[in-house]
Order: sequence, then structure tokens, then C-alpha cells
Amino acid sequence: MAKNHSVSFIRFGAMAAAAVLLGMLPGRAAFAAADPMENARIVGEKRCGECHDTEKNLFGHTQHAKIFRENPRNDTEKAVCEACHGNGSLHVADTKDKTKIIGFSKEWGTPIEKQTAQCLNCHDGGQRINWGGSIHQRNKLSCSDCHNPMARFSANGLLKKASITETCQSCHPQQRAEFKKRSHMPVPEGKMTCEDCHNPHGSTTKRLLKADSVNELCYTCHAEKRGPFLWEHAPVRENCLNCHEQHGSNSDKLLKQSRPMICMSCHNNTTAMGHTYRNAVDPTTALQIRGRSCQNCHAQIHGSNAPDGERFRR
Amino acid sequence: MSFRPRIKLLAACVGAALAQLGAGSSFADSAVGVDTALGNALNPPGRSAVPRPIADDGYDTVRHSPSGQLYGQPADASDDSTQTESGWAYKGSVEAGLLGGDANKKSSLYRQYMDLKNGPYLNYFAVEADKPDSANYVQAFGGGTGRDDQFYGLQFGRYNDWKVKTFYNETPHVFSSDFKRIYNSDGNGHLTLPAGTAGVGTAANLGTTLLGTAKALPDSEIGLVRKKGGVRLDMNLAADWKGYVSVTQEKREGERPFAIMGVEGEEPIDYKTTDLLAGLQYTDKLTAVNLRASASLFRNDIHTMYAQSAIAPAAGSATNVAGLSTFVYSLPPDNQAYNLKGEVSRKLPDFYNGRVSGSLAWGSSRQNDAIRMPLDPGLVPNGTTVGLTTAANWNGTNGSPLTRTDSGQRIDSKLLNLSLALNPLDDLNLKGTVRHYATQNKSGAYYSYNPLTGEWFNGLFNSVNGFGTATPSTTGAGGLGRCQPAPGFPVVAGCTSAATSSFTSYGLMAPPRDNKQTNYTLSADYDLGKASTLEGTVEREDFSHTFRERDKTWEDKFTLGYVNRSLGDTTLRTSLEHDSKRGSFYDPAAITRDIGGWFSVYGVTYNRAALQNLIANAGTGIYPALATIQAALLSSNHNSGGWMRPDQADRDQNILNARLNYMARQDLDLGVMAQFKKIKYPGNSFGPQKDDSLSLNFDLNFQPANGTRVTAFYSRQDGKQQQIDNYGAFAGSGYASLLAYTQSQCGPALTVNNIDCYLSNTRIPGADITVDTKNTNDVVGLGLTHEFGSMTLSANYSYSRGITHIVHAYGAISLTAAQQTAEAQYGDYPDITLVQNTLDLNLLVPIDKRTTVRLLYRFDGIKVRDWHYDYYNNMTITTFAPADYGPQNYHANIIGAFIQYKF
Repeated sequence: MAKNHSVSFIRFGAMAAAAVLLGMLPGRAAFAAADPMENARIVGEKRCGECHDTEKNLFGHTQHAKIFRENPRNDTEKAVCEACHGNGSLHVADTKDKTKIIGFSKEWGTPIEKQTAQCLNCHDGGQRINWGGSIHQRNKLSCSDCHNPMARFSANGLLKKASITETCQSCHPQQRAEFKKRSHMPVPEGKMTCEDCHNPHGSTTKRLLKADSVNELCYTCHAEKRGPFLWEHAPVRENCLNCHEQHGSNSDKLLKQSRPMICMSCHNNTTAMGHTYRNAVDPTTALQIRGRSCQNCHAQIHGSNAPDGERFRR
Repeated sequence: MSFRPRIKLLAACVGAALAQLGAGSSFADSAVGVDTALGNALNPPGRSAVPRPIADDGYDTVRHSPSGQLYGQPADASDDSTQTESGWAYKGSVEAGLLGGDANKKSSLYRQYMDLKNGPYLNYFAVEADKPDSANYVQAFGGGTGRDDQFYGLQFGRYNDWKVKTFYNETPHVFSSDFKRIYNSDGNGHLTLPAGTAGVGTAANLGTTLLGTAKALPDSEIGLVRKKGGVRLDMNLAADWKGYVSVTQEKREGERPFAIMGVEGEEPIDYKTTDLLAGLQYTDKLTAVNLRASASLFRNDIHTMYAQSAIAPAAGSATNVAGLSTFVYSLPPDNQAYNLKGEVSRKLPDFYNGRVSGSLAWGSSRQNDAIRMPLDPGLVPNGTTVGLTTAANWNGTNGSPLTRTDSGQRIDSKLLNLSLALNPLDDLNLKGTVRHYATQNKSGAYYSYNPLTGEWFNGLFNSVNGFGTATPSTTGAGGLGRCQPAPGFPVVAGCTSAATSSFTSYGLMAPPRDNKQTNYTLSADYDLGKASTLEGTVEREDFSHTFRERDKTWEDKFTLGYVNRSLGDTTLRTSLEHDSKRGSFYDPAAITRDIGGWFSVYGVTYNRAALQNLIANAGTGIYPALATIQAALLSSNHNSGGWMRPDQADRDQNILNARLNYMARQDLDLGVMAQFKKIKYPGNSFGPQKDDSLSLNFDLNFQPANGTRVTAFYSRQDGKQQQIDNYGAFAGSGYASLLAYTQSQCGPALTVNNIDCYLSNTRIPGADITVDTKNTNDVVGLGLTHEFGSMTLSANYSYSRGITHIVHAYGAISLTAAQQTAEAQYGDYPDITLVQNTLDLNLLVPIDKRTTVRLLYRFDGIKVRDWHYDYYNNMTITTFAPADYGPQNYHANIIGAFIQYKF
């Protein structure tokens, strides 16, 4: 084992060194190109509306519009359209040059980094404090891959779809399918959204979780399982996902495997395991297999607070 | 894109293309808290059932997102609000009508998280008001009024200044709709058997007595309802400062199935959880700071459950007699959790355009419920002892039989996350992160030891017998306990033997486990072109545990990613990840090892150090003879060495992700997403072997004209898990075979030096049983929204099929002759299957500018089979009396007629 430990560490070190060397490679461009909008001036919302009347009307019912028009905090917000799209004078002069105004669609082609920076001018920090280096940022997503502030598509959040869940599932169809399984979080029934657990803007916890660990997140809704109990079930305390799928499962209770197989993945040499060869069709099949299987007796599998709860039966 | 403007339509559809009217504003934000959904099955959060027309020329504004997905068609934004003299502008909408058909359908899968019933139904209402001159606003909405899935929200404030959000939301959770109420429950934790139930003497006759009773009982529903409300204030405190504070409270009431040693009853649920949250945020051009404090207080109004059983222990012995006794259960204790967190991020524009970030968090979870007596006064059957010396020494009469009277449990957690991101070149981003998360159990060990008697105990009714105890021996020979008191307690009077380790004796300790996890991550992404990037990440994860099978595990992770957003009209994102996890010596008796070779939480265990001590001293003093030790070791197989539990096992993992978005036409986008994951456990000669999965997903989004949208998707998921089991007690002819095999592998005699070999070979490979589990899922979705003149039709269909197929492969000597006969007669497990079809049809018929009729048809059908609940009616076992007869098939045809009115 010690040898494996060393080998792994060497491999890690080698990869780290490679990453550093990669950092020493010359870039595609040694210096930032000059900003083509550097000399642009504000033209005002009225001027924008002369050509973009439909957009102006649709935008008028969004939260951005209400904020910018009714209670702007600074000159940027007072500029309304140009608060996001940048100063428009050069665009007015040459509407065909896509470098002269910031657009947020694939058709327009403004670089992702520039789009994102424009949004973060106002929205940096707060919930987005960990955006840099997050999985979404590293995969070069733009804010407007999820948000569309040009019309009121969602109740809040200026999302591109009507709901948080629909927005997330447009890129995460695997999870959409998992929510269709037999046991699932109540997302299709409208009682949860992806954002109950995940912060799409970045997190210090993997999978963009909104808590410092998987268990701390789960305890938010399942506080009765938080304990700590007199008798802790070690893998349960360490990570709920040792036994449960997070989105949906073919098995009852979001279990990773059907009972008793999920229990048997750790517990081989127990009385119950001697019964699994005999399937449930057999009328003599033991109570260790049917119904809740192991939990027919070990009902307190998440932990017991009984003085004699060592085997999670009390 | 050849979009043609169309006339404004009075009607619209219930679809994603339609905009909202203050609908379903979420309570929490994206960084902290739940409650981001306020809606129900007929009102998905954020989407109003009340339609709004599609905007004139709105179709012309439809573009693709930067990744190439079509945005929806925007709704009409013409101002139809009413102005008041005071300057407020308001508008609202309501939808109400009737639900009929099979909305009352009783099936746990149908009713699991929703509450549809026949009859009048206020499906939705919303109103919003805005005062432009002061920037004040009010929004209110709700739906499902009077049902168990109702929801309401109210938000008011001043744009860009402050806002208050309040909400109330109910969520049903039905566990079973064919539950047989064997027990009579008073709802406060007292469960009694039906009058006239006779004690049966042995657990083997338990089912015989109660199974017939259960079968004759009517079906009933068992579940709970979450009722939650809260209020939150957000405020801009100064130019760069924001603050928020919130309080929520959730009440959970109902019942859930709870097994009482083979007889199912219902645990009463009466939970209350209060969450408090406050935070400050500071952001300027360079620096961002988040500070947050939270508290969660959980209260259970029913701490103890008393449930009668039809078996009772005989007075003064560990056997059963006919009679009723009472089992006592400790239900989830009150607990509280606190968390403080600070996050700082600062840009370094003059240092490689970098950014440095840090997070620091501290948390604590605590509970201090009183521990109930091992035997509760008045609950001892026949008013006398239960295989024990004196009941008074166990029920508190003679003082506390516990090593502590209150739980005194506390686990603290710490998080430290530091990261530095640099852009040494325009095209190169580097980021390094160190993350350390640790939990520390500050509870101290708990010992299930009775200081009054010197006995260790492991449970009233240990499976089928009486109170399991380890009686102290005064002779030093045989027996359990050997005068071993729990730490801090004296040896009981009359016990003179020295405290000594024994092969078969053990005490019971609840160990205070600690965990530490540290991740070191270094990532780099390099721009290969205008819109293509190559990314590499290396990560090291060190995980240390106490009182686990391994002291340490470590995992190396390597990821290579490639993103190209300009492959013509295609965006491609791919990544390949390879992970390798290894660890220190795997000891299945870690508890014994960590505290000196005597205590266990799982009963008799096999510990290398303890065994070596026994072997070295075999036959001397109180130590058993070598043959006795060897026989005990080989009395059955166990999972030493060759079987590592999956969360602790060596693991190799490879994951390939690919995601492609293709703008096939200006009005059509296609998506493909695939994930292949392969997991192997290379250190396991038996036990978990592999866990592979495949996910394939195809999407189509077609918007050919104003008011028309077609969507389709197909998803396929395959999962394959393999495990090798080995039940030593059933293998070959038992001990003799096992001994012969082990001796052939390790030598004829057990010695200090070959102990590892013995530990790893107390299993005959010929007795292996290989279990393959295959999960397959197919999901199809079709959607259509189309306008016919002034009417709008929307149709959504989905098909979902899930199959779990389990196959056993038996080694040559894995089954006895009788077992082979049973296996041949009944074959393997039948598949667990679920097939669901749903169809939603909505027809919107506008009556005038403000009024629309909505006609709804919804079909929802499930066909389910689960062998866990199969054949209850044919069951002949006598130790089991289930109450939950499992999920049921259903077909529900629901019709609805609603009037939608805008004002």
C-alpha cells in the first residue's frame, strides 16, 4: 500500500508539473487586443428603441427594466440598454460591425469572456463569489446560456426558461431522465428545483452544492437524520450518497441498489445474506428479503439514540 | 431566420414559451437555502397556468443562446395594467374551475407528492402592483388552495433597495396507499396490537398470528405533509453592502412505515424545524466578501415509541414465552446545528490578472436528549426479569444502569478553502485550490455497559431471544466480559479476574469518529483558438478517518477537457477523467484495533493485532488453545482482506463526458449528451467488483413559426453492478471444508506470521455467488404547442420505463442440496419494473380579451412490479407480518375545465 501511495503521489506530481509547463507555453495572443468599443459613447434608451422597438417593449416588463428605469443606483444603470450592451454610439454608426456592441446570442458572437464580464460589472460577488474556476465557468458558459433578460420568460431570475428546473435540464437531460424514475426528488411535481441543492454560479463544494458537505446539504430538509446519534452508522455519517442516489432511482427510497443488495455491498457475513439466493417468488423467502428487507429489523439505519441501539434496531 | 410577424393572439398556451405574471417567485437565493420552488404539479414553479399571448413580432427576437440553444418565444408585453389615482399600476389573473374523472385515484405513486382531487379547484391566482414614481412594488400569488400541495407567496419592496419575501408551501409525501393497520396507534407513539391478539411464544410463529389479521384489513394511506412558511428581508445597506435575514419553520406531521421486528407498524411523525439565517455581502471593484450565520433547530414532539409485540421473553431466561411485551424505540432526538461562514475574493489586476479567494466555515451539530432506560419501568413483561439478574438494576429502580444519562452528542465541522487564479497569458488561465474539510466528534465514546451489574448489553430482544448481555465472569474462564468494566468504572464486586483480552469477548462502544478530507487541485485552461479551449486538471484527495476500516485513503484525479464553441454551428464540450483511489491497511475490525483489541460495534470481529496476541499466548493463563482460536476464526467466512467496503475500497474510475449542441437550422436546434462511467474495485477478490453506467440523451427543439413549438427527447441509461458474495456457513460441508481450503493456502497451523493469509482466505472461492444487477431506463418526451386561429393546443407526452434485472451465478459448492432444489424451482429474481405514461392536453379557448376557457385532459398511468412486495398473499414464512403491500398500478384519466380571468 505504501508503494501505491508513493506511485500515486509521483503521478500527481508529474501531472502538476505538466500543468505548470503548459502554463509556460506561449499564448495565442501575447497581448490583449484593443477594445473596439473603447471610444463609444452612451446614446440612451430612446435611441436604441428607434431600431429595437420590439425588444424595448418586451424588455419593459423585466426586473432589469423596473430597476434601471425606476430606481437606478448609478450612471451605468441609468443607461438601461447600454448598461448591458455597452455604449452604443459606434454601433449606431455601423450596425453591421458586431464588435461595436455587445451581444449575448450565438448569432452575434461576442466573446464569452466579454459577455460574462459585462454581467459581473454589476453582479460580481454575493452568490457569484465562486464563479471563477467553477465547472460552468471552465466549460465556457455564458450568463446568457441560462439567463435571457430581454423578456420576462421566468417569474424571477430572468431565466431563459420559465423555471429553474427547465433551464438546468436544457443542458442536463441525464438528470431530467433520473427524475422520471420510480423514486425521485419531488422536482417534476413542482416542489423542488435544482437550485435547492446546487448553486450554478459556483461553490467551494463539488457538484456546485450549496453546503459545505453532501450531508450538511441533505440535513437541510432531513433534519431528523442529522443527529448526532448515540450510535452512528459510519458510512451514513460520512456521506448520504454512499447509499442513496441524489436525483432518482429504480429502487425504493432513492437507494443506489435494491435492498438487501445495497446492505450487502458492505455486510457479507450476516444471517440475512444467507437468504438472498432464494428469490421472493419462493413463498418461504425470509423477512430479510421481502418488504424493507434488512430494515424490517434494523429500522433505525440512519442512527439510533437508544442505549442498546448498536445494531440500529431501536 | 425567416420569421414572419403574426397578429397578436388573444389566447396563449401553458408552455415554456409563455411569460409569467408574478408567478412562483422563489424564496431562497442561489447560494444558500432551499425553498426555491413555490408551485405544484399543475403549476410548475415559475410558470403560470394563466396564459399570456405571444408578442407581436416576438418571434423575430428569438435567437440562440451562446451554446446554440433556441430561446423561447416571448409573451406579449403590452401594458394592460390598471392605474390608480395614487400612482399604483396593478394587474392580476386567476384560474378556477373543476377537476373530475380519476383525480381521486388512490395509489402511493400517483399521490406521492401531489394532491389532486375531484371537485372545485382554485388552481392559481396572481396579482402584482407597481408604483413607478417611488419604485415600490407588491406581488402575490398562490395555487392549489385547500389541497396538501397548496402554495402562496407574497413579495413587496422597492426596486434596487429592499424587499421582503414571505411564503407558505405544503408538500405531501405518501408512502403507501395499501397499508394494513395492524397496530392501533394513538398518534403519540403508543402502538398496541388488536384486542385479543395472543402471544405466540416464538418469533417463528409471529407471522402466523398476525399475517392473517393483516390480510383481512382494509387498505389505508400512510404519509406525511410538510407545511413550511417563512419570511426573508433583503436590503441594500450602502453602496457596496447588502444584507439579508430570514426565518423559516417547517412542520411535518403524519406517519411512516416502521418495522417492529418483523411486524410493520406506523411511526408517528411530529417534527418541527426552525431555520434562522443572516448574511452580509460586500462587493466593490476588487473585493467581495460574504459573511453568513445560520442555525437550524429540529424538534421532535414524540421521542419514544412503545410498540406491543406478540412475543415475550420468559422471566429469568433468554427464551420466549407466549404473551405480549412492549418494545421501546428511541425516535429521532431534538437537535440543533449552527454554521458560520466567511468568504473573501480579491482581484489582483496587477499580478497576472489574478484573483485570490478564501472561505472559512465552522459548524456544529448537537443533541443532548435523555437516554431512556434499557428496560423501561412498567414495561417488563410479567412484571419481572428478562433474562437478567435483577430488573431493578436495569429499569432505574436501583440507580442508573447507564454510563451516561444524556446523549451529549456533538460533531463540529471546519472548512477552509483557498484558491489562487492567474492569467499569466491572455490565453492561459491557471488555478490552484486547497480545500480542507474536517468533522470532529466531541461526544466522547459511549459504552453500553451497566455499571450496576458489570454487564454489557446489546439490545432487548436480540433478534429472537431475550436481552443480550455479556455476564461478568468471576472465575476468569469462559463466559463473556471477564470483569472488563467500561473505562472509568470499577470492576464490579465479586469479580476478581484481571482484565484481559479474549477472542470471543467484546464490549460495545459507540466510537466518536472523526474525518478529515483535503483536496489539492491544480487546473489550467488554454485557448486554442477564438472559441476553443483545452483544459487539464490534476487533483489529489486525502481522506483520513478514525474508527474505520482504513485510517487513510487517497485518490488521484486527472481530467482533460476540450470545449469548442465554433465548430460551424456546433458547440462541443468533452472531458475525460481518470481517478485512482487507494488506501492504507484495510482492517475490518478497526474498532477493536483503535481501542486496544477488545471493543466492537459489530460483535465478534477478527483483528490482526488481537489475534496475534491470542496466538502468542495460546494455551496459557486464560487464553484459549490454538485449536480453539483457529476453529473460531474459521467458524464462518468473513470479509477480511479480500472484501473492502465500497466507500473505503481501492477504486479505479474513468468517466467520459460529451455534450454537443447543434443549430441545424435557424428554427431548429439539436442536442446530444453522453456519459460513460466505469468503476472497478481492483483490491477486492470478492465483494463489490464493478459499477458501470452509460447515459445517452438526444434533444430536439423546433420553433417553425410564431405560436408553434415542437420538442422531443430520448434518454437511455444503463447501469451494471457486479458483486461476489460468499456465505461461508452454506459452503460445502462447513468448517471442515473451510479449514482444509485455508490450510491449503496458508499452511496447516495458524501462526503469528501467517495471520494475514488466514484472514484473507477464510472463504472458499467455489462457494462464491456472483450477483449482477443491471438497471435500464428509457425516457421519451414529446411536446407540441400550436395555435389554431384564436385557440391554442398544447400536448405533452412522456414515456418512462425502468427495469432492474438481478442475476445470481452460483459456485459449485455455494448451495446445499436443499437450496439448489429451491433455486431450481423458483429461478432467479423477477425484474423490478416500472412503466409510466403521461399525457397532458390543454386547449385554450378565448372568450374575450380578459377571459379564456381552459380544458384539461391528463392521463397518468403506471404499471409497477417489485418482488419485494410480490406474493405476500402466498407467503408461508412465519416470522413476518408486513403492513405495506407495496406500490400499486394505476390509470388515472383526469379532466378539468377552468375559467381564466385577467384583471
